[in-house]
Parts: sequence; C-alpha cells; structure tokens
Amino acid sequence: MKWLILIILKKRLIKLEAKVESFHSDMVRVNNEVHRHVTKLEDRFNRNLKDQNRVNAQDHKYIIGLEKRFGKMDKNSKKVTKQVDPRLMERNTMKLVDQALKAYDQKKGKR
Amino acid sequence: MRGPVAIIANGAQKGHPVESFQPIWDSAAMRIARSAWVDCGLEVFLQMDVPYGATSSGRLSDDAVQPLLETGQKDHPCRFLEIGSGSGIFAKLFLDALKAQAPEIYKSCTYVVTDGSAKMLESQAAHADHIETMVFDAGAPWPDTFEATFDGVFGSYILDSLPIDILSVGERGIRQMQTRCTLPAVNEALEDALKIPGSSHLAPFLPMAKNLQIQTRHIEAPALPYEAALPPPEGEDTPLVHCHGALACMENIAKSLRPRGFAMLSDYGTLSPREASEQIGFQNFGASAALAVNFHQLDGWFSKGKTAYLKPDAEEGHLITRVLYNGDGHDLFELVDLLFGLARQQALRLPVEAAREMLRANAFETARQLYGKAMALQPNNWSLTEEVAELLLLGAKDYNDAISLAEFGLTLNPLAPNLHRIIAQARYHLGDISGAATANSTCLRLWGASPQAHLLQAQIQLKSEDIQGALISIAKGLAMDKEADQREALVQLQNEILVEISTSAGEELLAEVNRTRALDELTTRP
Repeated sequence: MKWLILIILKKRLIKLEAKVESFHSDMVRVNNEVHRHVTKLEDRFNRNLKDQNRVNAQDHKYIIGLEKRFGKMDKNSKKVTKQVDPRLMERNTMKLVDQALKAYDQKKGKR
Repeated sequence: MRGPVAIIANGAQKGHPVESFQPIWDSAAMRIARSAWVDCGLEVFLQMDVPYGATSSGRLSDDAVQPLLETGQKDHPCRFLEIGSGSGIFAKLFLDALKAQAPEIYKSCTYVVTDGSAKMLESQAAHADHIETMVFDAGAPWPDTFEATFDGVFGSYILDSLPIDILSVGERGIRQMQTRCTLPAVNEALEDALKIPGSSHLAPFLPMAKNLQIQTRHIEAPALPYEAALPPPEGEDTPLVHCHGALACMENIAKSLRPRGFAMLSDYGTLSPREASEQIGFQNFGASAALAVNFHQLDGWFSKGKTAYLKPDAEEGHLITRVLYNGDGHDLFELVDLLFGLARQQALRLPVEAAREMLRANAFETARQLYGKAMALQPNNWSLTEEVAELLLLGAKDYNDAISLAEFGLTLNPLAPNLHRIIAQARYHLGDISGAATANSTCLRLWGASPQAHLLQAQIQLKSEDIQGALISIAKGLAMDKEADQREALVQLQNEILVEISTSAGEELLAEVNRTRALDELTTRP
C-alpha cells in the first residue's frame, strides 16, 4: 500500500515537476520578452531623450541668444531713454556750447 | 528714327524761347533778376527777402573796426568805401563801433555809401556829417580817383552779384554753359525788351521771372576774362563757377587801398572744387538771383598776388570772409584767423542754434540761458536782439523785458520793422492799446506787407471797437500772407468778429421785435 502511494506520489511529483518546468520556461520566456521589450523601450527612450536633449540644447542656445539680444536692447533702450531725457539733452547741449565758447576764449587769450 | 535718349530729352525743349542761347550772365533770367535792384529801395531787406541779418547784424561791422585798430595810428583822415550798401545798416553800425572804439579816427573820417536811398540815409542820420553817397557799379571799371584812396573797403553779399560764367572743365576742354529762357506762351513784349542792352528797363517783367524755364547747352568756351585763374582741363567734366567779375572787382579793391588799408569781403560760397555730378543753381533772394562765390578760385588767384590776402586756417562754410591788406600780411593774420576762423564761427553759431532747439522743445529757460551766452559774445547784434525779444514776448511772456530789449535793438537798427512789432505786441498784452497802435503803425510804415503786423493791427482796432477797420486789416493780412503763416490766426479773429457782429445784430433785432411787454397778468388787482 505504501509502495502504491509512493508511486502515485512520484507520478504526481513528476507531473508537478513538469508543470513547474513548463511554468519556469514560460516565466523565462516571458521574462525574456519583457526584458527585450524593456530594452527596446529603453533604447527608444534613450533615443528620444537624446533627441530631446539635442532639441533642448538648440532651444537653449536660441533662448540664450534671445536673452542676450533682449539684454542688449534693454541696455540700449536705457541709453536711449537717457539720451532723450530732456534734462540730459539740455546738459549735453550746454556742455557742447560751453566747449565751443571755451575754445574761442582760449584762442582769443593766445593773442 | 530718333533713339530713346533723344526721345526722352525732347521734352526739355518745351516752351517758347524768349531769347537765343546766351552765356548765363546775359540770360533773361539773370538780367531780369538784376533789374530787381533798380528802385527796389529797402523793402527787400525789411521784408527779409534778402537775408541781410547775416552780414548787417552788427557783428561784421564791429569786426571791421578791429583791423583798423590793429594796423596802428592814422596820420590822415580815414576814408571808407562800402560797395553795395544795401540796407545801410552795416555802415551805421560800423560808424557806431568806430565812434565808441576809436573816436579820434571817427571824428575826421568819411564813409562812402553806394546806392543810398532816402530811407537808408534816415537810418544813418546820427553820422550824417561823415556819410558821402554815390552811385557806383562795382562790376564796371573803377574810376581813377579811387586809386590808393581808402583805408577800408567793405563788401557783403556783393561778390556773388558780379559777372560770372558757368563752365564745364574736363578732358573735353573748357566748355561754357549757355542758357536760353523759355515761357509757356509767346511773349513778344519781353522778347523785344530783351533785345535792348542793359537790365534796368526789364523791371516790369519781374512778376513773370518765376515762370522762366532755363534751357542749357555747353559749347567750346570763347576767350574768357581771367583764363589763367581756371584749372587745367583734365579728368571728368566738372562744373565750375568762374567768378571773373569778383576777381576783377577784388583787384580794383586792392588798387584802391592806401598803405595799411584793408578790405573786408564777406559772402557765401564754396571752399572746394565742385563734384562732377553737381548741378549749379541760383540762390533767389526775393526777385534777385545770385550764385555761390567760388572762394576756391579766389583763394588760389590772390594767394599769388601783390596785396596780402588773408583767410583763416580753418572755417565753416556759412559765411566766408576774406581780407585784403596793403601791407605785411603777418600783421593781420592772427586777427583774421580769430575773427573769421572756425573757433569763433562755432562759438557764435552753437549757442543760437542750441537756443532755437530748446525753444522747439519749449525749454524756454534753457533757451534764455543760451541766448544770454550768445548775446554776451555779440551785444551789438540787433538781429539776435530781435530773436531774443521774440522769445521774451511769446515764450516767457516777460512783456516789459521784451519791450526793453526791442528798444535797445532799435538803437542799433532803427529800421527793423519786427522790433517795432514786438514792442507793439508787448504793449498790447500789457493793456497799453494806444502805445501798441503807435509802435505797430511804425512797423507797418517800414513793412506794409507784414501779415503779423496786420493781425496785431486788427486786434488793436478790435479793442478800440473799430470793427470795420479790424476786418479791413484782416483782409490785408490775408492778402499779404503768401506763406500762410498767419492765415489761421487771421481767419480765427475774423470769425470771432463776425460772430460778435451777428450776435449783437440778433440781440438788436429781438429787442426791436419784442419791445412791448404786457405785465397786466402780474399786476396786483385792488
């Protein structure tokens, strides 16, 4: 009786082993597929990332250029604002006039 | 068949020629323009048709005294000659300055003014004992009596009115520009008048001078006076104003100078040769016409002459002055360089230009400051005085100061109509209507065609309730306001008067129609 039970148990064990084997090979296959898929996704992601980085780098360059231009414009506009400031204009005009008068005075003084 | 270039050029032949081709100086346009000076009197100056403010402002008159003082004591009564005395203000201001700075020379001096008119002499009344008048054409041969006679000879805007030729000089040789004037329609009267030599009889044709179109052509030049003063015919064809009249006149001036005598000649012109692509055009002052003096040519010619010819080291091109001196040029060079050189020209020009700029920006106080600097440099400049008085009147509204300054200006130039107008306007604002009327009538006597003075006259008449007179003054102002500067103000005042007339007429009519008023209903019954 014990022998029979053992045989049955062995058969069941073999069946289970086969099942486990099959599960395992399925698992390995699935894992492999998943791995391949993930690797593919990773590659694609990396490629996208690379592309994105390149685009970003170009945008960055462009934005930096724009920033520089805006900065320059800002600086110039401040300069222009200063130049059209009536008080500054008056000061500059007076300076020019005084220079001309001084140059004449000096020439007169030399005689 | 004609080529396309000839077809395009064909249109230039339009019009009816009034003469055959002539050298430019003998063309109808120039001859009629010359006739403008006959009988023109002072009006062309007073109306500012001729910009005499630049040369007769007092600055050059003051300057003219300086070489006289620089050349030392005079042991004889001095004689001065002014060629083309124009407004006569240069002479008056020169004698003012001489009286102030060298009374001993002034006491015995004689100043010969040419082309004197009664009004001009009126302005010089204070110096009547020192003035001699004579009619004298600087372009004609000079009388022998002029030789070594003058201690000073002055000429402003005269060199540009002397005979010239316009030439084209280049590889193709020296070619003379000839002109032929055309009119849109046939005018036999003008054609006949042009056949008679001279210019003075052409004055009746002045109104049509603006309609004259000038056709030009270049031909191989005949023998020209002062050919030695022309550049060699090489390179690209380049236009050149050959100022042979100015060359001859200046040689005559040099001969007329006494030892240590000097001549001071001021004009506008060019300091370097013209560009090949340049076209030479007239400068029109009112009806008269003139051409920029070729100072480059004069400088080259006289630098080799016997008489010292002085010019500053550097200069601006606005008003050019040259000095001839019958003595050692070194004595006067420094003075000439100082008086007419770049440093002084800029010192005189910049404050005034800056002040005008400030006025445009309504910065009256800065303008006042700048004008102050300008006036400190030339306190006897009536033209500047007029400009500043106008600022005080219109910008700063300092009416009393405007009157004082204008009155000071009138001591320098009693014939400046605008100074009288400024006084009138300031008095009007101060409520002195009769004073304003007196000053404005003087302005109108001197410059009857001033639209501004007619506007003011209308305002004065309106204050005095002379409605009819005011409307007539407005009409005169509108008729004379060719530049339309005052049109808006005149029309506005006219509208105000017309509204006033119709309002009061309406009130009168209503009063007449509604004279009887029944108050029965309001009467309390006993």
